[in-house]
Amino acid sequence: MGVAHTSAVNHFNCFYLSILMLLKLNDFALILIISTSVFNLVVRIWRLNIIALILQYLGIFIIIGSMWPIELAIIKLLVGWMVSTVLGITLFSLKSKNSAKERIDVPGQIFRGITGLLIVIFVNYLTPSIKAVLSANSMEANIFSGLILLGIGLFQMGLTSDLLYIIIGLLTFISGFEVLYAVVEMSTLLSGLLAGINLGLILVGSWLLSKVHEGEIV
Amino acid sequence: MSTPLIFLAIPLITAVLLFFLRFNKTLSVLLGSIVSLFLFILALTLPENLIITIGNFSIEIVDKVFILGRSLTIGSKQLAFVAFFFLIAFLWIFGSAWFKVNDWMITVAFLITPILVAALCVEPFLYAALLIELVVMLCIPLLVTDQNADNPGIHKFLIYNTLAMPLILFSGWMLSGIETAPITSPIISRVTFFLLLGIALWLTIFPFHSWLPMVSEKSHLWNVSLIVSLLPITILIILLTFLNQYAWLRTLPNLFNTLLLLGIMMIVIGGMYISIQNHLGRAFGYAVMIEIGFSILSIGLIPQIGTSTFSMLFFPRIMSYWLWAYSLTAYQQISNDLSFTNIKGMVFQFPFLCAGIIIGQLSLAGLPIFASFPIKHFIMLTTAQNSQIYGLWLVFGSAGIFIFTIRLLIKLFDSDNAENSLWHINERIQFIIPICIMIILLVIIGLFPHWFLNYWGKIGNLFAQFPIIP
Repeated sequence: MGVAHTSAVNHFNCFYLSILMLLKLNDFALILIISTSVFNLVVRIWRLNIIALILQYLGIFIIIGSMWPIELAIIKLLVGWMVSTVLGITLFSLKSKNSAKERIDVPGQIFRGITGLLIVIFVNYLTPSIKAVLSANSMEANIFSGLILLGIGLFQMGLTSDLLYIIIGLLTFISGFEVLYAVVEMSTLLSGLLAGINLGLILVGSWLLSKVHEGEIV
Repeated sequence: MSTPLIFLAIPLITAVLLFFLRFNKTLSVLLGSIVSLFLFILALTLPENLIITIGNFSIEIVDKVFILGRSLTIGSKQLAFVAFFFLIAFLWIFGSAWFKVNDWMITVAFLITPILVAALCVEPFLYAALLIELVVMLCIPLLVTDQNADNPGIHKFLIYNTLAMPLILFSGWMLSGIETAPITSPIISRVTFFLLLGIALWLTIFPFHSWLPMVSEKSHLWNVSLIVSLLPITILIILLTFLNQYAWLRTLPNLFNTLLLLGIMMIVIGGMYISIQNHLGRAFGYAVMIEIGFSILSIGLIPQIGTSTFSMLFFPRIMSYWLWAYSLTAYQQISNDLSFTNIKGMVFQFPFLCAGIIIGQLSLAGLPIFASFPIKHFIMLTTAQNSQIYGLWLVFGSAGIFIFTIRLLIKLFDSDNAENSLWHINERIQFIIPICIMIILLVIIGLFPHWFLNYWGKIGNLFAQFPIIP
């Protein structure tokens, strides 16, 4: 009896600990997603942007991993890191152009920072009602992170005419959609096709970046 | 053997071959033209029961294949639009023989045509959004030239179409759960909003139209005309498929009236913009906007005139696009600048190119004796019967393209000195012959529309829930 009771308590503790860990992990992922996406919105230094993108995909993996089997969620991480690598390699090969363009634009950064903050506040208010619409049993953090990525991706595209940041905005927007869609449905085929879309987008984006670079040299 | 295998796998394999042949223009044009023409004729002539009988020997073709649990169906109802898509591919690939298009053009044309066919045949239907996004990404290399990679129009094209994809996917997911929902359910308004916003982004509906003139001004016009011939038609068919599939969506109060208004708005805005253009490429972009408006208007009129009118618009439109784009691209190769300042007195130097441009425009505008006239005249009459105000707006919007043509004619005949006013034929024969053939064809279609348009009206038979009015 005593042994069975101890086993049940241990089992409960393990379950409780894993839930606690998941919650903490989700919180960590949420912080990672918010900080990296806002960082990419505010800062215009491509090396740091690529690092932020890599960390952003780590956050997305953790968030999706809390809803999907890990072997399926890892696709998002692998694809995300591949996308970041391709973008990084392209920019590295075009570094002369990019280093010339990088500059500290304080008023612009303040404006974008405030915009990012407003998006976070707005999404915070919006999340409970979106959760009700999606009628999903997922944690609010998952929906919150998806909406943050959608919102910041959208603003990233709207606030710049620089192709690099348009591409980063598109990738962020699609990531947000992937997180939100993962909340409502788990589809292996859709996941695969979205991976293809991400890779296709970065190939087209990198090719366009190199074409713009060629045009500027000419 | 199955129809999806024939109409999807054969072109995709050909695209792979064309990729390796892309530096040999003659061979790739020849291969591309032959295969697309073969697929067009096959789709046109396949019997309804899909059984080919030669003497005692008969082959039954299956109309469905399953890939990863999803199905692709090309039955007898789908064959009309399959034929139409391969006709477009043939016309543009064959036409590219005399143009300096980029090496990717024929390969990409052979990739996007079957992918768009697949987008219209896939079940569940929401996968169409992903396939369209794939096509959009494949179109980017066609739009980029060495000078225009930083053209904001190309970026907007990519952004708007990518934004539409999640909206359509989400609405597809929501639709699957509310097939039996009551009309008063709040979910219905949400789905409708997502769906219409996604379609608006795809169809360049105002205010998402800005990329269209930017791209047609700066990119290679032949490639642009191929894209605007294929993509909007696919998306319009997707919109009608959604309406056909969900009873609650097509019975929404005022839906068709809203579409009718939206169509008129597109025609009026496009007409206003085109009337003040000073660049032939930009004008082409706005003409595309007007044509999309006419298609949306014809969807709005479906309860009265059925789906045949909607689908009969496509064939004359494509022929007119072809003639206009062919003549413009031929001139773009000579001068590279399509602005009004550069075309003064052009008619005396290049009379056939000018005739192609002018007749292409007038045919699109719906001038009597040309191809678009019978259908556009019918649409205008029906709209005016609905409401005289709508009819007046429609006339006002349609006048835009005529005003532009008159301004263009003044410029074309405006020669600085008497020496330049002497008539010369400077075009090469390979430009003159196709232009003349197409002009004659546009006149024949305009005079005898029933010979040509009845077949293409069959595309409307896809939508069984709507009235079929011959």
